[in-house]
Amino acid sequence: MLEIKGIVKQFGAFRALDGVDMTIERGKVTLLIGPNGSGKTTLINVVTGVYKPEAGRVYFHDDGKTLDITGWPPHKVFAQGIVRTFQIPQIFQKLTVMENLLAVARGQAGEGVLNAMREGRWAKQEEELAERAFEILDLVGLGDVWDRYAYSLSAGQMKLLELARALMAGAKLIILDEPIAGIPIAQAHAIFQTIRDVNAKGVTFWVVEHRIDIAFKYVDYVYAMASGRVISQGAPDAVAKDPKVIESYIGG
Amino acid sequence: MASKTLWIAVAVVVVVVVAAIAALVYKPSAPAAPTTSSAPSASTSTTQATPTSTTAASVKTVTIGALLPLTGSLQFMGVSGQCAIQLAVQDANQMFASKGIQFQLVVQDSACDPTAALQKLQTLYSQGIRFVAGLTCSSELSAVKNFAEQNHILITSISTSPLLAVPKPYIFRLPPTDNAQAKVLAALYHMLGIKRVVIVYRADAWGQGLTQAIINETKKYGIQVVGAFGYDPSPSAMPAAEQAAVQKASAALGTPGPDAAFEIISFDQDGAAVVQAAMNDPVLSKVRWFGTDSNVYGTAIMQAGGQALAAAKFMGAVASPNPDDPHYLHFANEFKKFCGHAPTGYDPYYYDTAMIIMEAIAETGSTDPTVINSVLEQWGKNGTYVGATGPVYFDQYHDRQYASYLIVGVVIVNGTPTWINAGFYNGTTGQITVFPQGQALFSS
Amino acid sequence: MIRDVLAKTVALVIALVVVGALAFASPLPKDVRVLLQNIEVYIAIYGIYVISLNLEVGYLGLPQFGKVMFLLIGAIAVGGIATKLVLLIYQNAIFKAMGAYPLAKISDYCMYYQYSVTSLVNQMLAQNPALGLGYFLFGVALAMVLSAGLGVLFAYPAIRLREDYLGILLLVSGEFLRVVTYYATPVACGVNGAVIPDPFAWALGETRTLVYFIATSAFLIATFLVFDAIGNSPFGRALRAIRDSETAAAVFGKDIVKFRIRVLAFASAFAGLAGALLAYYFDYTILGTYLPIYTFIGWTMLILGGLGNNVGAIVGVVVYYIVQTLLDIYKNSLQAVLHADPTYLAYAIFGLAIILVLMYRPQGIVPEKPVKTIDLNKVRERIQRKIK
Ligand SMILES: Nc1ncnc2c1ncn2[C@@H]1O[C@H](COP(=O)(O)OP(=O)(O)OP(=O)(O)O)[C@@H](O)[C@H]1O
Ligand SMILES: [Mg+2]
Repeated sequence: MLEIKGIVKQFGAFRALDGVDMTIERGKVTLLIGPNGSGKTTLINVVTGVYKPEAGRVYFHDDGKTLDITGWPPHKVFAQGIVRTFQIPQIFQKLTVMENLLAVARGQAGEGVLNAMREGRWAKQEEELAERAFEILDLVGLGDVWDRYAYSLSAGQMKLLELARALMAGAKLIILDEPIAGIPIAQAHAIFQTIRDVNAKGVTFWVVEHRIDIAFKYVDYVYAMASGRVISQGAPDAVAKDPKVIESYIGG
Repeated sequence: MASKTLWIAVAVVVVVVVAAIAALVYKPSAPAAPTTSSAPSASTSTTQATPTSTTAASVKTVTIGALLPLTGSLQFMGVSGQCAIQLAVQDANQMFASKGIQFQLVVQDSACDPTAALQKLQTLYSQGIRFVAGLTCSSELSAVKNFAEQNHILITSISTSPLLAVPKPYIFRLPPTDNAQAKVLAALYHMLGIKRVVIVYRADAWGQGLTQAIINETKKYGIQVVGAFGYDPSPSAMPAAEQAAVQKASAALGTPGPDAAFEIISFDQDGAAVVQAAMNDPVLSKVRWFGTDSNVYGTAIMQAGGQALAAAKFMGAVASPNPDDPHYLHFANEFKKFCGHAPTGYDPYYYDTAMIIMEAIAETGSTDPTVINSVLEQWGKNGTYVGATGPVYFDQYHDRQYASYLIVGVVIVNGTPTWINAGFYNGTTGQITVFPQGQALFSS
Repeated sequence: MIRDVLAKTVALVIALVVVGALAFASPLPKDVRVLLQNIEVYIAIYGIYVISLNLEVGYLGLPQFGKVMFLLIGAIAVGGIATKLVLLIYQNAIFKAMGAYPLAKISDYCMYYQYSVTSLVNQMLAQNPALGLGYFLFGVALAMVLSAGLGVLFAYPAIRLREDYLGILLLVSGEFLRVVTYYATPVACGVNGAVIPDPFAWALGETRTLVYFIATSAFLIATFLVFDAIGNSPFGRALRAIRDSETAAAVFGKDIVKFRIRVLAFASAFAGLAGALLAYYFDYTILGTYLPIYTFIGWTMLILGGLGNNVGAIVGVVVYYIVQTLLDIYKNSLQAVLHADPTYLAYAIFGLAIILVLMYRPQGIVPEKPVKTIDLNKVRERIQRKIK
């Protein structure tokens, strides 16, 4: 579904990504691991249009077509059906939890200035979106705080809100940057279970996560990065045993 | 839900509005109160001898307002003018104590902003004030003109813009308009045998207006204005803007000669930049120079090129009472004591804006602006009021006429260039008298 | 939801009717009524101005430091363009009376004849209220169109850049436009200022103020309705999302540039409307006075009232005017107590009041509320019933 070819991203003299190749298979859950500072978040930022790469290409395969989405602005990447979360939550602070979800729904008729004034044009859609949003909030366990301001949530709840928002956006590919960091074990498992459930309905996932003990149980394929390069890939068991991976964690 | 907070908001607004109105209406204990309570305008609308007012018990307090630029770009004028007006109120209270009238002053800051000026005038009006002195900027006067006329507020101003030389009931202007100054300059050119004039001017309302007025007035003498060049007067454009204008003026004049002159329509600081550019110019440095009421006596312009000014026999005209006029001398003395510095250009006019109102009120015993309006019209015809600026005559537009001008120039005294009073233009006769110390400037 | 917006609008209408009745038909002394009448007109005009600023600052988080530019453009539309149109319409009558076409030599017209020509035009407009109304609406519409267009045009070079660059560009643009138009006599009589014919010349004295009160109130109500409706819609929610996190909003599909353009065009149009109304009401305008201070007065009103809340925007304007007027009236009495220069005292007290509000109520007098689109409680109940 997503094909990353030779991506180079430079911050001044520092090369955060040094020719990364990666393929995210449609319908699978792909995990990306790597020590701190290895370039995982940077790669996501390049794919979703937050950063522009110095070299390399990003292709998106969908509906039997291939799009070169390299350097596209974020909202255009989103329009193709790619959605992501943020490692450090970037929620809409002064919106309620519910509004955070409604705000990211796709294709809202009421987002045009002129339509906005005509409630008839969007009220029905809004009802449907609200229903779906409540379902998602119940699913991730934020149902009870739906009308709270987002800034009043705990750090863990903010992470969940990030996830809920990604689910709300109606994506074909969801990229999660450390979805269970700081989340208690039981709930962390529940989150990965949810990921699998949604994946079963046809949504592709690409997950960055440090807590491999939990994550490995739920994913289909694993990439490992170190110092801006892919150093290993394969089935979870294979990568876990790869000496290069082990060394990179110890050395890093 | 939402409507609850909404109604609370509405309730708060209503309470605040009601409280504000209550505060406005609850005036009787406020100091401004006696104006409205003890001066029912209807009953005093005719001039009448009021025997009761001579008893000591019934002292009538009249509050007048002053609207001045106490902040903003004309602050320097407004602050000094405020002092002049305060002095006038103090003088009036001494002069008219025997008539049982006491004057009070309420000052508001207009910042030379037309919007603010109108709002402050409306505030003064709500306090029962019907007489407002000191309006300074022409733009302010334009903005308040209709409100004053509709609500019968008598305003005295020191604006000089020819734009407002139109019928304006209830508004009187104490200084002559810039047209009058142009008349004086044209007469001066004529007297000195000038035939060609080139002008450099500040491109603001005043500079443009005066330039146009000079062009019109010189035509009557057959004098030709060969060119007029404006410059952006903002300090950030200095001195490049002035230099460019001077260069163009030099080119327009072409050749020097005893029949040619260079007119500098500037204030002090920008005038200095003009002088610096002109004193080395091959054409302009060989002709006579003239100034305006706003750059003569300037310190910056003198510092920039005193020798050049003296060589060019620089002269300008300032609307002024005869310096030997006892009224002016008295005012200047008092002003210095009261305000701590000598009066500058407009101070005597500010003084008169307030004094003419108070004198009219005291003489007629009326606080009806409509009555005072016609009194001032009458006085203006006869020159009845004689103040710090001499006898005050108004034309049909309530603008000062027959104003006299002092002709000021630069000569070398003991080796240093010095400002001197070179002559006097009598506004009533149109004659120019040359003072002994000014003879050198008038010789060819 | 819209019902909520309507309820607020009705409350606004009632409030305006009440204060209008107080000012125009009550036993209050005339002095006080005249002051109230005029303050109400200013409040209506500045209400429009600050509501439009709220969409930019409160909703979108756009640092609109060039707001005064649109009061200026409104003044140009009225004093510079609509006025000239009326002069053209009446040019033959003016020629007959004065022996010259007003626009033939613009500098002479600006310097000497504005008042005589305008009083002639006003006499004719008084006979022709329909033309007057047409001239009024033309000026208003022109102000809105020009403001929308120029608002986007001036912001365009920085519309893709970070907010602070955009804010500075807007500030500079406002000053640029002010200086350029002020020193260009043909625009609106430059340094002399433009005398503006009165579209409601048939209305005299208090009737004129009443007509302006009704006209400006009607525009305020319409503005409130429009801005609160779009504020309480998915559009308004998207704006707030962008304000809270631009990166997240972009990643979730919001085209920031497009939203900025829409908001700038829309809000500027209404600020231009306010500028046009102000120019007509004063029947005089001088472009040099549209200084950045008017931008910051707008900000002060908005912050006092409550950023992100349209009711707050109006409350801020009301409170600002009430405090300012009361201070102007009572500062001289205060001086007797405090022995300070009354002018600076008034400014200092005003500043202090603002600081106190910001310290104890940083969200403003009427804080921001969640966007109301549909009744979410109902949806919630329905879902919970389904689950059970
Ligand atoms: N905007 C930036 N400017 C400069 N350097 C950056 C920037 N963003 C990231 N970096 C650097 O790039 C490198 C990769 O960072 P990145 O955030 O992609 O790592 P990561 O793999 O996500 O690490 P972590 O597991 O800690 O989240 C780090 O050294 C980081 O300091
Ligand atoms: Mg990271």
